[in-house]
Order: sequence, then C-alpha cells, then structure tokens
Amino acid sequence: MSENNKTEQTMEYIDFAPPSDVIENDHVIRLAMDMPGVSNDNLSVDLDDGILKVTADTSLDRNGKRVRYKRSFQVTDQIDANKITAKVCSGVLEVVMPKAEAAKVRKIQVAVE
Amino acid sequence: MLARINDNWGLFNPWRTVNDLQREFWNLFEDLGDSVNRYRPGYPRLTIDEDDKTVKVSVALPGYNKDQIDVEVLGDFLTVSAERLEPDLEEEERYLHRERSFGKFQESIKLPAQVQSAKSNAKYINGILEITLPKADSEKPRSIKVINS
Repeated sequence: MSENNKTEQTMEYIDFAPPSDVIENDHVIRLAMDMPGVSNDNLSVDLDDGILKVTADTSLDRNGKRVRYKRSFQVTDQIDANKITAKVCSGVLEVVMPKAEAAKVRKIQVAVE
Repeated sequence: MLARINDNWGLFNPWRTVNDLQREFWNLFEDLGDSVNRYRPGYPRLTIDEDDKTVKVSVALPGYNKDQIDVEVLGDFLTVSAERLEPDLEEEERYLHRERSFGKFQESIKLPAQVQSAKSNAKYINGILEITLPKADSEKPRSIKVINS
C-alpha cells in the first residue's frame, strides 16, 4: 500500500485537450469529446459559474507520463444546470445540456387584423 | 501537413531503435509550445510496449464500432484499419463547433520483434484497441551455460 502511494505522488501528468464537437438545436446543446481510455469511473464533469469543466484520468502513458484530459467551456446561462447529463461510450464523452425554458425559441403567430 | 504527421506518429517508428529519437522529437514540439502544438490530436494515437515475452500495441480509436476494426499481422508488420462514420445530425441540429475527425483510419507499423500471429489477440475497451502479440521463440532471450572445457 505504501508503495502504491509513493508511485502516485511521483506520477507526472501530461494534459491533453481532447477534440470536441458542439451541436445545438432549439432544445439542447450537445457536446461530444474524443477521450480514448476514459470510463465513467475516472471522469468528472462540473458546471461552476458558467464554466463547464471536464477532467479525466486515463491509464495511457506517453513518455513515461500519465495522460490526462482537461478542457473547459464557457456555457451560456440559458442552460438548465440541473438537467445536464453526461455519459462515456467507447471513449467518447457526450454531455447533453438542455436549454432553460426561457431560452427556447418560441414561434409567435402573426395575427392578421 | 503537421496535422497529418502528428496524427500518424507511429509512422516515425519503422526501425527498432528509433524510440528515443522519437521521444526527443516530441519533446522538441512540447518545448515550442502551443503555436506548433495545436494541430496534434488531443491524445496519443499509438503506443508500442514490449517485454521479454510479448509486444503490446495500443491504438486510440474513440467511438469506433468493434466490428469495423481490422487487425492484420504479416511477418513483423502490423496493420490496423478502422472506420468511423460521421454521425447523422437530427433535424434542426447544427454544429456550433467542430474538431473531431471521421472516416477511415489505417496505420502499418513494423513490430520490434518477430511475433506468433496465431496466438495474438486484440481487445477494444473504452475506445482503445489493445493488441497483444507473443514474441516468436527465436526472439526470447536464452541464457547459455558456460562450461569448463
């Protein structure tokens, strides 16, 4: 156990910004990120003060350093923060951010007088 | 051009002893900073490890379907080909930002040793293809006893 702690302390990290797509429709904004080597267990997605922060550890090594993914996005305040969901599938993270009611496009009928 | 080189950095490993050179090459890029770095993919695509008995190759292939990944060994050459299709957008969806690439991926590398292709296996976990290739018997270290004559 003590040996385990030791390796963690000396572990050096190398950070990558994973390539990302952002897709929008009238109701949601979807974020897709390529993060090979990431499972649900070693991933964190936080929304704090309008900044969506994605951090993930992997078991990948490069040049003796542990690969870590980090990326932040500024999101509009028109997102319903309580309804954000995230999942990882085959190394691709998908974050679904539903828009708040107030932000949805509303069609207004033009009345003819 | 840079984007292509970086995306296929396994290409720089066709010889057995070039690993250190490659390491230096990448450190050079890291020293130069973001002005050069921004075109590389956001993750290491291909890594090769070996010990006395096996060669392990891992290829980062996020979002692929395991049925669309082909692994071939011919002599000491390993070829990985895969394809991921661009996702169809639903009606009224539009891209605000695009960075991910789609389409065909193919990479051939020279393995650092002769391998037993029949005993090799490949697994696809969390978007990483892990190929384990046992070394051929002729590649395994053999100690030779010194005898008195």
